[in-house]
Amino acid sequence: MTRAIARASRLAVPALIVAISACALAPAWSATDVAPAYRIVPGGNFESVLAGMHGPASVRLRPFSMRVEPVTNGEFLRFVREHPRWRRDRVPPVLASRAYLAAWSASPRADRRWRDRPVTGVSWYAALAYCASEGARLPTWFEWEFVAAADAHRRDAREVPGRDQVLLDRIFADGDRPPAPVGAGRADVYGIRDLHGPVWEWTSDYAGMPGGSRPHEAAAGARSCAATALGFADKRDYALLMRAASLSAMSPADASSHVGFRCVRGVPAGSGGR
Amino acid sequence: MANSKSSMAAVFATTVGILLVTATAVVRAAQDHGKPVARRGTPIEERLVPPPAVPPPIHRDHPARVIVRLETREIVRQIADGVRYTFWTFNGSVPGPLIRVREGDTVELHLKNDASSRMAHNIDMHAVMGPGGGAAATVTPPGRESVFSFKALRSGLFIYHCATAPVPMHIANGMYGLILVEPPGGLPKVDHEYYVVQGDFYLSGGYHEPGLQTFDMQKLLLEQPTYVLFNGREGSMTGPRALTASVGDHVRLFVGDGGPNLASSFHVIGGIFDDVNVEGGTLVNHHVQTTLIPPGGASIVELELPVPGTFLMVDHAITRAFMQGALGEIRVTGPPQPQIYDHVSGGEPVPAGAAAASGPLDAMADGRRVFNQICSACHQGNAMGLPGAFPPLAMSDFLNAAPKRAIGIVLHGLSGRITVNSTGYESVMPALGAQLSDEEIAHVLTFVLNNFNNRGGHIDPSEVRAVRAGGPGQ
Repeated sequence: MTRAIARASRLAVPALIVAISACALAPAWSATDVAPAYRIVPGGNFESVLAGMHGPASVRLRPFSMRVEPVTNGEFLRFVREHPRWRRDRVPPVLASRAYLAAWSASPRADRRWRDRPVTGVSWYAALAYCASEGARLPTWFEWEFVAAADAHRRDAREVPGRDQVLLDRIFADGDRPPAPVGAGRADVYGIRDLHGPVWEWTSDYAGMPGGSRPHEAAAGARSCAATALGFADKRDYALLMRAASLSAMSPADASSHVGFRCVRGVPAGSGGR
Repeated sequence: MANSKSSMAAVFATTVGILLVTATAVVRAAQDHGKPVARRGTPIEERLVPPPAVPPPIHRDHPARVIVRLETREIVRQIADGVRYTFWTFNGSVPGPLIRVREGDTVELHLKNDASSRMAHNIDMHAVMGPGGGAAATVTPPGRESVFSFKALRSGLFIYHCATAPVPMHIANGMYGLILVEPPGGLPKVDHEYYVVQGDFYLSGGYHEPGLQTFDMQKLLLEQPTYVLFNGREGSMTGPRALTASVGDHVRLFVGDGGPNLASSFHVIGGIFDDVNVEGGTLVNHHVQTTLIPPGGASIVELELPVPGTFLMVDHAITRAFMQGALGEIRVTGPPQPQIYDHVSGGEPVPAGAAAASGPLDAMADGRRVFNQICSACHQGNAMGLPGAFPPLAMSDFLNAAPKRAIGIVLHGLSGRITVNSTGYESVMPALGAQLSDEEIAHVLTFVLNNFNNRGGHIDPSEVRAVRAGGPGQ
């Protein structure tokens, strides 16, 4: 693992322990529910956009499997019903800010389109807990970025001409309307969808990313905009820069109407795809 | 009268300029103005107003603790008529409000990020002496608030802007404004103060392409904006939103350039800047026609407006004014001042040659004369009009749809909103019935209908006579 990941995990692991132990979660979803679809990602060598002064240009990822779609309102609603500790009126403020699920009070829960929209307004702690309930975890930034580099035809589509603008347009396509229901996007080569929509997705190690901007971290030599720019190998990839800059400014209890998540699982040795 | 007022103002400004330099030297020696007096009492809450308005002068003889509250909001609104864009703003406006404090004040800045924001935001204030201008201290995720304080040690006019990654995108989406740090004696009194900030905008669609447009990365990199605008919207200060003054007024403009890429060659057509605080600092220059304002810079300009009329504020890299929107208006009302400005004569008809002696050609030549003499002042010599201010007569769907309607408009004038070639206009066309004969109106309309790619047609003087007889209600 890289230095960046090692640094990030020092921040992330204690928080994970807090979140899980505080909530005493049941580790799996109930048998009657439809298990969410995951697809195997074989991993491999990868040049991250975060490469540069913050770590080696290249990272090596082990195989993992990732949720096809981000977690939806409907799925998170079921989770909250099964784990009432995560209800808005019961969750401890230290694990979820006042913005947690703030939009739900005015939501038409019977509406299928609402249920199929990606859930947002979820704190990092709540996202961790949800993934644990699915026997999964949050992806690392590198895992998320590895999958996000693909398109429908290739594993690494980042050099495809015009792609930067296509991704930016997807972020702004909805204007100020809520994000479209999941499943609308085209599946990539792994069969995974909707990574580039208007919703940022939590990663397990977001706190250690350059970007720099977390106000509450003491170890923030990289707080300025200049540090963020220097921390990115590809300064033209604005779609990823926007995600990284937004996530890195957040505290784990923060909830934003533009931040959701999806989960990943490890893959048993030997079944790790090709 | 106006002249003596002007020279007195100049002397006063020069005196203040000298005082200002002296004051700055004192600051450098002392490094501080001591503890803010108001710290022992109640801090002052800054009352912010949206552009182009400016908070009133300070008139305080001591430094204070001033609380400034800014909120970052991401909003979809029109950048030009029928064209929508996602702006990122301070307090919902582009530019953000002008902040006005006094040298020596301790400013307590509260930066709130609206809960519905997509991005984290912060502020780099050029009036701050400290790392990042406050950028690191103010990184604020959606739904949070940051507070930091700084002492305003140097007077001047300074830009503030968001400095969160990707910085060029935050600025290109409108996240900038100005902070004025008044010198201890304040600024000389003027009749009006206004606030103008230029910015360049990069949209996926072309100029005036309607609908919701997104940010275009390639145009940003090539520094080829779709719009160059004052105060973030085409027509922000034209027509009914024009800046106003009376004949003889002294007007001060706080002008900034947010960028991200283009410098502004700021000019007021028909005006001369009596005083310019060059680059927003303490150096005062006089009698300036066009002042250069770099991105991330600002300038205080002051001008006397001794005659009535409409004065256009432009970026004199003039393509931007006429093709990309960098245009505002100052409307000056009051009695004519022929001793200063007088239209003696002009646009005399060119004697027609022997071949042009027939009736229709005479009418056409007369129509051209009237057009050049009167209509072109607003509708421009090429009849293309001015975006956001004056509608085009060229290829005009409004004109061609009902050519005879134009008779009444020329005779009696027109005000209120009209739509020409899918662009809305809200200007005032003056009534010309008193100064033009029936023949002249018929000729100029016929000339316009048969030129500028219009569809042709003929207006007879008898038709004008009939409409005139019918009165304005027709």
